[in-house]
Amino acid sequence: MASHTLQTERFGEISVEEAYVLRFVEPILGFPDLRQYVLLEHAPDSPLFWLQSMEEPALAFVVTNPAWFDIPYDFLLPEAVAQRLGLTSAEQVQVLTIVNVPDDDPQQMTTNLLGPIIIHRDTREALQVVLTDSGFTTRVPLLAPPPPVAAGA
Amino acid sequence: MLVLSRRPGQRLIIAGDIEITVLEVRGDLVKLGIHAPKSIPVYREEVYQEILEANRQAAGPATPSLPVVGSPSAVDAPVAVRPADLGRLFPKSGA
Repeated sequence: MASHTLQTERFGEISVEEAYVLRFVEPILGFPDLRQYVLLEHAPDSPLFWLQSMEEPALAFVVTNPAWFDIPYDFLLPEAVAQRLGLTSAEQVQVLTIVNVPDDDPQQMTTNLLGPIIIHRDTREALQVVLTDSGFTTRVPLLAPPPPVAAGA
Repeated sequence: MLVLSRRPGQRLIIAGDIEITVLEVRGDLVKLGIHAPKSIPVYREEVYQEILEANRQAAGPATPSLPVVGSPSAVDAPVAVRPADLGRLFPKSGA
């Protein structure tokens, strides 16, 4: 099968088989010229993944699914999005959200529930949808604050 | 900027396939109806900017160190799948 060799700033040179290329039918907002990405593991069993651009070596988003952090995340996929991606059943849908990891305090990482990435698992076509009027926000903490340290401990 | 005046019920046609109708004007609120091809996303500007900003910020630091977090718990929500189910979407490291 055809594979792509790409240079990445974070992972060095990697080889990606065609079957794993995610094609964005609409670019991620703010990155208009970038259409191809690949998902990479962060660490075995980690709920965090990297969404590495195949066209921009420096660009990789941290992504996750909020449910893996026990964050309730139910929404109705807008009909237009389902049609755009050719989605006909829930099993075909993969939802990922972009994670913002503060440089100085990674524990404070948040995720964007307002603008999830929707992937068709079979065609691997994807887009970022904006869930207008959903009540979700762009900065939902993923980790609960650590328990307070007992006084005098 | 092109400036046009329209009354309720009147429309604008953009590029032949985008149709914007002024539905109602009440005080300082204007209600618009928009018909556009599905390939043309329409956003409220402030929501668009918010997502844009969140995306840019998330792409920001060159090498954030990720916190170590445990295995995700099993969930039954329809939109949720476990990382194992992602297997078809990404190459296993070391494979």
